[in-house]
Amino acid sequence: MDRVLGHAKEESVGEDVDWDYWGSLMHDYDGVVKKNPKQLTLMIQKGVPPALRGLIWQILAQSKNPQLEADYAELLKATSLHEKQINRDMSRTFPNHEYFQAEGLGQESLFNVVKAYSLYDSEVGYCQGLSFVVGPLLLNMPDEEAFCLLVRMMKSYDMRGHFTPDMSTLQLRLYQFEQLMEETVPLVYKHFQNQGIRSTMYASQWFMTLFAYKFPLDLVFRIYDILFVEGVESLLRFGIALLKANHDQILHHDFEALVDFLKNGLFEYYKVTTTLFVQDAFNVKVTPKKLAQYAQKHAAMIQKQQAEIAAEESLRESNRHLSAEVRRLEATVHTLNKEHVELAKELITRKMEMAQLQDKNDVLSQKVIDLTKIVDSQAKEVEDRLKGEIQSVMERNLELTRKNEQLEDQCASLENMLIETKMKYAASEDQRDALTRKLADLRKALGVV
Amino acid sequence: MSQTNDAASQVIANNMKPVQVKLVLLGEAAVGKSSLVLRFVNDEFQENKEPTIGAAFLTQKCRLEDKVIKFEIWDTAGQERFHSLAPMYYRNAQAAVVVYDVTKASSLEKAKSWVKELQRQANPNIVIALTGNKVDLVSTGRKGRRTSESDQDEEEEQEAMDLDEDEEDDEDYGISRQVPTEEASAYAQEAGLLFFETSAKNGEGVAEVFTEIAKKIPLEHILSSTRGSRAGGVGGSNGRVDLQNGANGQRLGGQQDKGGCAC
Repeated sequence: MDRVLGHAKEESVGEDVDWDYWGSLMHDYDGVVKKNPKQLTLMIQKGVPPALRGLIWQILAQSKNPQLEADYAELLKATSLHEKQINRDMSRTFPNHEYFQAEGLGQESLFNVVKAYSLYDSEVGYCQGLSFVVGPLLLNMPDEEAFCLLVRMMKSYDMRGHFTPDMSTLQLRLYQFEQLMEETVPLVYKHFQNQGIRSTMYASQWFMTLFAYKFPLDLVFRIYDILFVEGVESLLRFGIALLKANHDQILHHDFEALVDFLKNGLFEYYKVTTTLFVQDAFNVKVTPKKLAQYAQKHAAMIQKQQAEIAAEESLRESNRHLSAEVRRLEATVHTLNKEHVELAKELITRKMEMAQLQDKNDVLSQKVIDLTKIVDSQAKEVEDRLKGEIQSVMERNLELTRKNEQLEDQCASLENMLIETKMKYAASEDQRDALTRKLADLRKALGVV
Repeated sequence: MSQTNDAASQVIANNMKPVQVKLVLLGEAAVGKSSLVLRFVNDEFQENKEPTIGAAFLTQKCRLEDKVIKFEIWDTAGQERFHSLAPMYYRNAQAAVVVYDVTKASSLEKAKSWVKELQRQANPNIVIALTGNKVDLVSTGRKGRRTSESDQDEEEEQEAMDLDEDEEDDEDYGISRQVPTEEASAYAQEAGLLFFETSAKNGEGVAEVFTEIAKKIPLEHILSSTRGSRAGGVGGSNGRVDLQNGANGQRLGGQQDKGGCAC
């Protein structure tokens, strides 16, 4: 890391500095710019003299504000919610720069400005990256002025949205950058698409730290020079200029090499000639109209995305419900399966029972048939026997009838005998009566005894 | 991670097609995510490492039995504000290292919320390793042994850098452990995570994290699915970060090639 050398290297440009111009600009900015606005652009491209840089930046951004400086002094007395987090990052900001070493003066100023800002703008609070934006300011001006310039950058230069919790402007910037790439360096754009490189992977760093995170500080100062004159959109131009300058090399790298190159190798090309960097950036055509167009497209895209997210969320929700339903149904299926198995078992036992019964039935049927046969054959025998019996009974009957007739004949003859007997008895009776009377007469006749 | 191992893994790396494992690092700001990766990839420790803005990408090859594994590591920014960017990096990942700082209780809470998010949103088979970093700062730690004489000085520097967000401690040099090993380990077990305690500073436990992850990942599955379709990626096409297009089976450029752990 030879960031520290950045200053020294740039001083070499100092020989052809137009001190008169810069002097008059500092003295009467409005007048000088009004008289020849193009000259300012030209002079800035050549580079602001390092010795005047801090002052010129403040003039360009019109950030001088005694009231705000007073506010800053007040803010320093207050305690910020983010203090510990800021503190944690202090030794991690430009850790290799002498001025920002733990024992250097820079770290305290850095802490003060970042802390004051976190109090000044509570929505932004502290966002990692901010200290890298403040660092280059502090290398050129005292902390209260750096604070005022930071406030100006955040507000008037539309950088606040790079650090707000939703980072909305950063997202827009990244989108605009990709669109610009597609238009200005289509081959690189296509190569990135093919390799799966997204602007978020390398350019968030650029836009959140104004390239200060990895780039040599002399390059970073030149970027600040332009930014204060041309506005924050110039960041896009620098980005494109870097891709253009490394065009062929980029096309030869694959994903892994690219990720590394975009972070650490991109600036090598301009390391020796910062002025060319600025000139190349100026040659990148970026019109406000185009950027507005991209912004519109981005807004539409965001809206679409949000709708998709909402749809996805509702799908996820219904998916959750359906999953629960599936689980419930699966449970039901499980119990049903169990029941089914039991029923199947039952069915089998029943079937077996039935088969057994069938067998029994067959046996019984056979028996019935046999018995029927037996019964049939026995009936005949019985009939025959009966017939025989009837025959014999009838014969006996006949015999008895005959006997009866004989007996009746006997009886009749006996009756006749009886009548004869009775007649003889009656005749004998008569005889007896006649004899009795003859006796009685005789007695009378013989004289009563 | 000796030179011999480096050479050995290099030879094998050049002869075999590596299994690519996409890994993401998540965790609160300043717990040492980037330092862990730097230790794993380059076997280095950088005092006062810049906070990661956005995300960083690094790779490292490892050997596990007869296979070569190439970790493709996305190291994410820890500050809450960058949270919304994280899904893009973890969506397709097969492994995640969720880092907390053993000297900072709140960082474990943040780690837990990352684990929850991963379990809800990431690849359902993702292997998650919970890693308590900075054990070199606590002398009574599970493996709080000192390995070099210079530790004492370094420790003081690290303490200066690691001023805690919580109310107590800081100014005095006895930085205390705020997350007991048992507590984090019990949580990890309950949540089904691998668990480690590491020091990116002295290297303790760092290689183990990646080795154990490599062991737990269904490498065969990854191999077969990468063979099937190069463009789609293992995690399907829903992830916006497509690491499949990265160099494959090819020598890595520059610094990333120097390391090499023999898993």
